[in-house]
Amino acid sequence: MTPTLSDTDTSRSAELHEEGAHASPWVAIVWNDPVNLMSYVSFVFRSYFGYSRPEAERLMLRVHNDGRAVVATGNREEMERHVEAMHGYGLWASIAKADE
Amino acid sequence: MSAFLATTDGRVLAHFDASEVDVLLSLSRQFSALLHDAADPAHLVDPAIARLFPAAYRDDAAASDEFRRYTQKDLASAKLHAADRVQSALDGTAEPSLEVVLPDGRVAIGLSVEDGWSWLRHLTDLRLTLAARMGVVDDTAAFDDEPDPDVLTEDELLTRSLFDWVGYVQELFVAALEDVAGTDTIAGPSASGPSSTGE
Repeated sequence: MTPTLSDTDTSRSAELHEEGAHASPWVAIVWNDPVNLMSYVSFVFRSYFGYSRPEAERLMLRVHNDGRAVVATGNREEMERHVEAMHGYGLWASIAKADE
Repeated sequence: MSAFLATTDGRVLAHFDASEVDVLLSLSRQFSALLHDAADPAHLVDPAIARLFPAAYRDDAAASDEFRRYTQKDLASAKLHAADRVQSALDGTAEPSLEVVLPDGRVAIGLSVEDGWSWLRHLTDLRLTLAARMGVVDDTAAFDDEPDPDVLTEDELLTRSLFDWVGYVQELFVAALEDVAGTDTIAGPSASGPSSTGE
């Protein structure tokens, strides 16, 4: 199986989990920071996760306005892989349990 | 004056003046020197290193340490590799030569999408490092105002102007790479809008 998030369904399920759904107990979170450009963050979300442009923009704006956004939901290893990738792009990312 | 251009054959052409090449090379080489021994946990007290390799678990120091043990070496290698790509393109040692002569006679660096991502990652790392050198890590409003010459020292003003300039370069670079890569990277079952890249 591939861990890549290749369609926007993933982000919809991320939202559900954010509200306390059950199946995938870990999330990858991207935090706001004073350095990363909005255009760059959105481009990274599109390129790495495969999000559509509107979805990537929505997540980027959530990071910008709310200080953080859940960008993926799944098992712990997958989320660690995503967070490592985000650190590779210079984004400030962390892993947490979905209910935290 | 730097300039960036997307080509129809899927590359980004980047032009820098000689003085801009010198500045970028200098910043980039300082970054490489900083990172060469970043795997040593003692270096995590450096705010720049701490920001480049942030805690993966915000409330669990032990889990974050373990994550670093498994990932930091590879992550540091990848960051150094991106720095090397940028440096060799700038100092003309890249093989094969990336040099492209523009219609107006200026020389540009021709970059593939993959090269372009190395540049974007590295420009980000340079800005994260410069920000940390200014004491800025998580204050999201830190750069909202113009730098105040009455408050900042000359060194701080210089660092801030470098930070702003690399940000400007990166903004142009993102736009150029999006022109080249945008339609490809969102291609897939969920891609909306035209998927043709004009081939």
